[in-house]
Amino acid sequence: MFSYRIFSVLQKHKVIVFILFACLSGIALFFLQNLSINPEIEEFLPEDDPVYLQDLRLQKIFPNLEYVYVVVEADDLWNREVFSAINRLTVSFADIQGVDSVFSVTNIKDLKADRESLEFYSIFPGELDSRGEQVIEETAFFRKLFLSQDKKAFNIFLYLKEDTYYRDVIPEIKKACGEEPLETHIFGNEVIKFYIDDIISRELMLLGSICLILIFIMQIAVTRSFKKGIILCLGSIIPTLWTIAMFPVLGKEIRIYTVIVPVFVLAISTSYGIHVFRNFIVSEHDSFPEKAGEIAPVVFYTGLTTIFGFSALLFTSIEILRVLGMFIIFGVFYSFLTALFFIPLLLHISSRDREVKSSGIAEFFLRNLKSRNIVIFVVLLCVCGAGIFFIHLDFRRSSSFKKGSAIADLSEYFYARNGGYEEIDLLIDTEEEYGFVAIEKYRALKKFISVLERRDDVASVVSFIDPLEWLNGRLYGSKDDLAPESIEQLGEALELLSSQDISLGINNLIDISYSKARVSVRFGNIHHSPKEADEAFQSLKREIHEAFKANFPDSSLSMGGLPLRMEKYSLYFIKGQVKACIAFLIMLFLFLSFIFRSVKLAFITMVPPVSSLVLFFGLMGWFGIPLHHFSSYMIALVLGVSSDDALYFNMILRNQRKSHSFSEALSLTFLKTGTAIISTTLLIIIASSALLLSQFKPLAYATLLVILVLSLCTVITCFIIPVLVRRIDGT
Amino acid sequence: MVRRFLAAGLFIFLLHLPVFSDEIENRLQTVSLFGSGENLSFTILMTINSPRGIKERTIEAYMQQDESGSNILLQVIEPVFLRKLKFLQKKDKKGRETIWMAASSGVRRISGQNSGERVFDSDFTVEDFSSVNTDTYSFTELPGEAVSNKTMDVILGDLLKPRGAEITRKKLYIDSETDMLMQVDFFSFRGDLVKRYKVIETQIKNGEPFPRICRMDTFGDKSYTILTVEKIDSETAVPANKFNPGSL
Repeated sequence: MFSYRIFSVLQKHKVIVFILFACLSGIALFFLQNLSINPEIEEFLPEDDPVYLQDLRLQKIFPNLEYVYVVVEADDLWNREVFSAINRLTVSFADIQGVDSVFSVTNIKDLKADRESLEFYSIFPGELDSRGEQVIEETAFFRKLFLSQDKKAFNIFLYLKEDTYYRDVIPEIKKACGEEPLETHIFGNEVIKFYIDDIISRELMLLGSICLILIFIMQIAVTRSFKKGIILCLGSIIPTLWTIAMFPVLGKEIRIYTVIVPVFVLAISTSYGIHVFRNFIVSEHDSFPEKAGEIAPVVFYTGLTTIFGFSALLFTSIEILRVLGMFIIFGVFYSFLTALFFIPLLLHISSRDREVKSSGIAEFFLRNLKSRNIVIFVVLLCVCGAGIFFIHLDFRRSSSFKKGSAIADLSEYFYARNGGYEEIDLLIDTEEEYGFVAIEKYRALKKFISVLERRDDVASVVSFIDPLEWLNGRLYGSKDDLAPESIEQLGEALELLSSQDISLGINNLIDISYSKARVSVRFGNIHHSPKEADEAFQSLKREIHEAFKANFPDSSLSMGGLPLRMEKYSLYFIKGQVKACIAFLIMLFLFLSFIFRSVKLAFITMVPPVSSLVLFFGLMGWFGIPLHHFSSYMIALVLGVSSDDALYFNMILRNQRKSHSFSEALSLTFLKTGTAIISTTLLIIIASSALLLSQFKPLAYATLLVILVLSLCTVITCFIIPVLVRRIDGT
Repeated sequence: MVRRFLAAGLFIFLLHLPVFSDEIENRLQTVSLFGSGENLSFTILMTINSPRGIKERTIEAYMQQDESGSNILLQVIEPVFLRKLKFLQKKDKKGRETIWMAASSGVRRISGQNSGERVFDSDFTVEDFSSVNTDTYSFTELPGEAVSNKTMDVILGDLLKPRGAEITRKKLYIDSETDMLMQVDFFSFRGDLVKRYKVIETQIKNGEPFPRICRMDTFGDKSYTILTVEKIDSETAVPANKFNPGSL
């Protein structure tokens, strides 16, 4: 009665409603001008996480750890042309704002010592000569530092200043490289970030547009009318637009974890639109207030339940999940407003014809509602769910991209050149001042490193030992590296390396009080499957711990670096999302129990969302899709759509049951909402299939999972829920 | 008539110019971070502060200065593993300098171009410890300035061959009363302030002023080194063999 009055008023003042929606959309469009998209993969570990703390600690002790590799390739490396090019590049790179220091074969200093004198000198003081080239070729340390492992290229290292933004510096580096005739390639974490930005920004525009076009085409197909297709399309676009506008309004950027928000709102609003449309056109009533009043409580409760469910995200300890939850709630609320007040009015104006009820679909569903469905469902859920035990992580950022993409190609190239590109940073803390100025500790470190170097998947291990033995050798007039034999030799070499400006990066390898050493382990596993790579990574970590324990019983070890951070992010997010999902399900259950006043019915409505979780992770395991934090964002979409479908179904069934027999009520429910559920699923599947083309594998894989899980959830809603409801109905 | 006066004035000015310059140079010959005196020995606590942390070195410095030139010896006392590390700088009366470094591997002369390298990873260079090299700089006296309520004589030194050098200009602030070097600003070719030496606290020993705490800032590296002069001996003659490279 109450909703009847509201919709009567609405009908009377429909122009005001349209103007209001148009104005709000205009305001949203105005705010969209200030929208900024930042597709950077953030590092969002909790502040008390050991890996996060370790990285902070490393940054404090060794401030400039971020570097960019530039590889200069030539058929004949030992050629004046190559050295000239490297020299020019070194000078150009040093002038780039944001570059702290550049190390290359042409600006390195060497130490010349004889009985009488000692001199730190530039190998190439200005002009290139064969003597300098010979020094580089003859010195093992310089070769290790600058020559690629396949000996086909020289590496140049560009250390970046602390607050340098990669989007500013990488284009400048690329520009400088482009001016050289030789083949150059750049790589490093900052370069990968740059390409990720590039790919994600491009895909957001391209794939997003394709999705929208597909949604529109599907909406026309579902409604079989261009006009109604446009109405539903407006019903999808308006809430999405408003939600996106909330980002600049609240001063937020669209980040990688909130990219899912527009996709989610688009899916939810489309689902709402189709449900409203189906109910509207098959309604027995003629007047608008009656028609709208019939569907309003269903939309209202569905929207409220989804909002209530996602409000669980607002109470998690993870800030980004709270932000994600907040925008999803905005999206659901706007979808709910549009579905309740905007779409019905437009549908009413556009056509007053009622669709002839076709009972074909309803009969098909009714014919197939067998008790054995439950058995099949339980078996399916158990089999799929077992896949959870086969889930594995993939910590490799560069392996997140499909073959043929810029990042995959670069990774392949650097693997070929340098045998690997993933780096772990180990921090060995002797916990005493000048702890490493002790021969036994020094030898222990050498032993520890030799254990790691013996591994096939370890490409190189860099520590302060390399420059130190080079310098010690030079001090004793040797061309070769020389291990120190006394603490004096050790201490003096460290002191000289620290104080002489010879650009060897020693300050990034040992701390100021010589008590903490950083060991950088580069390993390669590009051709491994994600599972093999994960196993190899775990085995490497184990071996590091074992070797450390054997060689440094009184010291402490902490590990950092991008692979570890990536591993942590994924685990952290999945854990966070699982907790949030459990909270979502509990909230949903409580709210459903309240709406239905029946725990059993609430329990039955929970079957699709619970199943969607099990299926999502289970299928992930069976298909060998690695666990990536990006996948976890997609769970929200699956949960939202599956719980909405189930809720629509049960609410309409319950409403129909009041005035019809169970089979009649079921038939009407199938007619009104069964078709809508199938249409929504089909629409989401077809529209999101554009995302399968993404070069960003986690997005493509997550989309595949969404398609499969939503399809299965639709089957569960249509073939399991009625059977379960029939059981509690007693008919 | 006016022209004649002007010409005479210019002639008198030009006659005096080298005298002014010589006066400055003579004065600077005796100016160093640790004051002047024939024989000086110090125990200094060097506290090196960088964005990476803090470390300390206790060093002994011996200085000898006479008409034939000057000698400076810097050696580490703490930490013990650096005890064999020593720097010796000898400068003859013409200002030609030679630096030796002693380490476990032996005693070697360091090439002149390396005298600008940092000592013991601090913000000081070997060059900083010696008297101002008047051969490589041209000096001009600027109007006096008041620094910390004291009148300072200000002398500007420009490197004669600035090509490729990191520091090309020095501005020295000398206490007019005590002749003590109170502040030195080091400028790059572009005119940026690169480093600054400043006496924070002074002390009097046998009626002579000496710095007690001084600080050298390197602005680009965000690092600074504080020297705390713990012991001063200006009476005991430093044995000549201390400055013999062979006995390092």
